[in-house]
Amino acid sequence: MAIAVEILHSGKALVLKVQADSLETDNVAAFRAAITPLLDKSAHFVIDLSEVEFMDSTGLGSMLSCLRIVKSKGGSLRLCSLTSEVQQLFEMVMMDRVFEIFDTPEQALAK
Amino acid sequence: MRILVADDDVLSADILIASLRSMSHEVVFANNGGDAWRLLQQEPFRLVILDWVMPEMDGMEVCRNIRSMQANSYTYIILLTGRTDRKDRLEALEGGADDFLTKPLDNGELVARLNVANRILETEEAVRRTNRELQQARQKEIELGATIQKRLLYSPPPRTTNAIETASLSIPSQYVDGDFCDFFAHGNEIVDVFVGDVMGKGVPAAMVGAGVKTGLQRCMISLLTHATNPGLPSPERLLQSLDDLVCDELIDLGTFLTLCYARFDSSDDSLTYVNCGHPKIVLWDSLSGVCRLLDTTNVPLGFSDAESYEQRTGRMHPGDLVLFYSDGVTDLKLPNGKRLGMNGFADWVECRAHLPLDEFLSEVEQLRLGGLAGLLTGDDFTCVAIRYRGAENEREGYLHLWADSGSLRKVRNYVKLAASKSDVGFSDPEITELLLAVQEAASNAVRHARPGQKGIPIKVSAETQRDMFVVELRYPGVPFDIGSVPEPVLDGTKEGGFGISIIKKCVDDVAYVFQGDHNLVTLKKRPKGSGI
Repeated sequence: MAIAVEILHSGKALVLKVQADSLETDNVAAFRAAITPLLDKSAHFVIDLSEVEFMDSTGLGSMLSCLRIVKSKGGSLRLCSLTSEVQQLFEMVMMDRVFEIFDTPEQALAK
Repeated sequence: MRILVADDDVLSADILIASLRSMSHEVVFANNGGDAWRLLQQEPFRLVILDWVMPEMDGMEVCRNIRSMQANSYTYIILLTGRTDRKDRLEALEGGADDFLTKPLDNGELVARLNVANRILETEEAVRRTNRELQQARQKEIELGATIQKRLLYSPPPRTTNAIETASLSIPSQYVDGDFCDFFAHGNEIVDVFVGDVMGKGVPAAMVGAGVKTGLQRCMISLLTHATNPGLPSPERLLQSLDDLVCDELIDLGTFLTLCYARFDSSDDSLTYVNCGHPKIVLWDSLSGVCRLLDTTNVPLGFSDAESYEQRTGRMHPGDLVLFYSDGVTDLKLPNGKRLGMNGFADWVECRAHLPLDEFLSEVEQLRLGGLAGLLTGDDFTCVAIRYRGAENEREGYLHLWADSGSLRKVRNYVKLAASKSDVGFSDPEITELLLAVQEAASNAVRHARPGQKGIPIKVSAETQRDMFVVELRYPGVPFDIGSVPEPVLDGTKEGGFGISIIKKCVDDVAYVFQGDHNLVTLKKRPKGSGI
């Protein structure tokens, strides 16, 4: 399954949109390869997950990996526009307490 | 013409050089044999005039050195000598001299000798030019032949079928030959694959290969539209028909070919094949993880005009890997100097058969590079790899598929469809939970059932049992102890370890059982509402 990460907005924070309907075992390596170089381009990030209708534990692991990289540089990473399925996964494993999650990119940037 | 003159007698050399220059020749002078030889090693001269007796190196020694030197063009050698003895002159001719000039120099004789030299050098140059042109034309013909072979004799696999996934590696030797490969797709369920190899090399072998391939296509069309018995012919009937068409001609031409014809039928998971003397099919069984060689059934076409063709049929499982290959593969040399052979190739395949086909063929390419032992060219090298996928839709209440990471979506879709068709009455969040549990269980199977391997055959069933929706996953591999998995760390400091926890949270009951030779994972989920 193809995956791409699009830069939506570049200002105080970089807004990155995941362009795939799932983030799972099949495409998680491609996702990591696509996003890792972008994490050097800013200190603060918002990841838009509006297109991702399915995420499994490996997809979740890749999100945690991004968070760890950004935090190690003193930056921040927020998530926005989670589909109900992905929101459900985050709540199930209590990752909604680990990540800052917003309804829209604008809300994530406003804070 | 540039001429090298070597003579230690300066007076005699001056007269010779003056004569040559008066005839518009360019002259380079050396006053001993050693200098002459050094000059010849630095640059070529078409004509060399050497005094026989010189210090350091005499004319005969320079002459022999010139003849032992690899050169792109011929050097014409004239020896200057006062000797008229027949024995001396014969010795000089044996040593490589072309002609003689007698001292003291006669200008008329010099002109005549130079004319002879010029004629011979021009003839020699014309022969060389013709040879070079012939060689270039031959090379062009070989390249053109190789292109024709690639386009006419190797056909790409069909894209219209899901039953098999195909990849092939074909590396022609520097010669054209008669290896060929083609496919017939019959709808979405049946695919025929055939590979052949005509005895010998060169354009004749390639033409026989093209002729047989076309003949096979004609036979297929003829049998499909047969007046009294139309329909898809069995491989043995097709081969019999091909034999009738081409065998006598092959015998007349004094040639033969090996041919393997195989049919994959995903409607009944079968492989039916006829193998006429081609290297044995390697079949890797995805359930057992073991490779075996399928027996040859007939002698090559063109051996006998009374051959009766016999086909064999076997059961296929999703994920089985089938390999057709040329003897360029089995003739490879191992590091210990032994030939790889069919059994050696099957052993080599066994631990790599799980790889995605492109990765598998990359490994085959590496095997070839290692097995050529530094030789730049080898025999024609063909390997056609078929991953049997099967129908990949529900049959007899279950889905059986080759599950690599790219197939997990198919498992989810199957369970989602089954849940939506049932009367369980799951809510959307409950469906999400069910699919998450199935994904984690299937992903766990792919990653851990055969450590280090990238795929596993999984049989999935999904059905309602009393008040529960039950999903079962069966797959081979090592047993999995769910009790040994630690609880996940939920503070964000660990990226992994969530899978089993997610399964437990998403379904009411999860059980991992090892039954003889396979794992059975059972996931049970009951709707929270009134449900069933």
